[in-house]
Amino acid sequence: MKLSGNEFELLKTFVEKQCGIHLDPGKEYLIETRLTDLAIEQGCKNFYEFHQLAQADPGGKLRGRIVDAMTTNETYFFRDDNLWNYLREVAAPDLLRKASTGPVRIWSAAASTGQEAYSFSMLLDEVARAQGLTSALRNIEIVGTDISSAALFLALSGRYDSLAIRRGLSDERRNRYFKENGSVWVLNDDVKARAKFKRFNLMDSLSSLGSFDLVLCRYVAIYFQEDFKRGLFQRIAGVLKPGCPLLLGATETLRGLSDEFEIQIHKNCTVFVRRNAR
Amino acid sequence: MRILSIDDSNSIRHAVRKMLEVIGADLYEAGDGMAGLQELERIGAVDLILLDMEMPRLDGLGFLTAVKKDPRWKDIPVIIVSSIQQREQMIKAIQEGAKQYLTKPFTSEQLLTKVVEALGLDGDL
Repeated sequence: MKLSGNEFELLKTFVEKQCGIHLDPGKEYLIETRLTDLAIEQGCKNFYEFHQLAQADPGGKLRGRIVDAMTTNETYFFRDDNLWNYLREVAAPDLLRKASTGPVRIWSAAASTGQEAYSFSMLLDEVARAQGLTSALRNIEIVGTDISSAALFLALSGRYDSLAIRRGLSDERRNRYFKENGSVWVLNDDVKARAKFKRFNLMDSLSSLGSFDLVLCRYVAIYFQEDFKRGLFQRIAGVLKPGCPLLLGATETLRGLSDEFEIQIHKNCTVFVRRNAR
Repeated sequence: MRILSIDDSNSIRHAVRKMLEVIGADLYEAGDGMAGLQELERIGAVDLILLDMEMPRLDGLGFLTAVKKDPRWKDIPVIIVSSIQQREQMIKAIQEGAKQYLTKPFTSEQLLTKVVEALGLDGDL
């Protein structure tokens, strides 16, 4: 379905209001590719009709599906080698040491179907075994949040088909942490139990989530407008403990957005460490 | 839950079968609309139908029209799974009462989230 200039303006404003995602001119294709299916499903002949329907949507169900469609991103296990090297060499050993004396919480801010949260759970298991810290694992909780309840339903199942399991996961890890059941790979209970999942809109207050020792907020803020990004990182600083790391996508930065974080480079991974209170 | 997948491509049906095992669905299959109707008669009813558009003997639209006319089956949600070239037909299918549609090619996450939504499995989240 073709999007006119006026329709782009209407839907751009609507999407921004609903989930903070900012679409610059030139991003018309994002609306066309992600919302055409939904517009047709709703029986709309054009995006103008679709916008009217979305605005009138009394129960908010259509609005929810628009947000889902606009925020669905690619997901796979152990995405970005540089990040996972940092987590394995620095963050995971730190977190395990902390967890040997008290609770430790990690937030995966766009959990989708669970690959990031479960990758971290597997990594913690590997590092804990290598360092003889397995007893600390029971004090670690990974909280995965996403705006899509359908994606979270799948995350909670800990079950992946043979195509999804191949994306990013080595045969060794697959065989160690998953059991094959027909053509489905089922995550083992210990790794699964460390991750909890919750439906959450990043536009809402973060206070209900509690505080964290590490936050992964990767490829989430890229769609947001600068003002919203500033506010989001400010709020993340509010739930991230001082001295603890925030990790963004490989191409993302906090430059000009927040001075609450100190930049540290570990090999090729940029780490944003929450400054101590001044 | 019982899902009927109707597609004339063996490889698509095979991929769909593998993906749907993730949610533990009982999958029934048919290679065209006519076989789909026969399968429905044989099984009685299903919870969801995944339907291709362009098929021999009876195409997706013909199948959908027949299903929506039959009081036994008219309330079964239907997801159209078809290629972007068949968009005009898909629009007609939605007007005929199909619930959602998914464009080929698709990932397992895209198919599964549509199926989870259509079946309302995520209701408590």
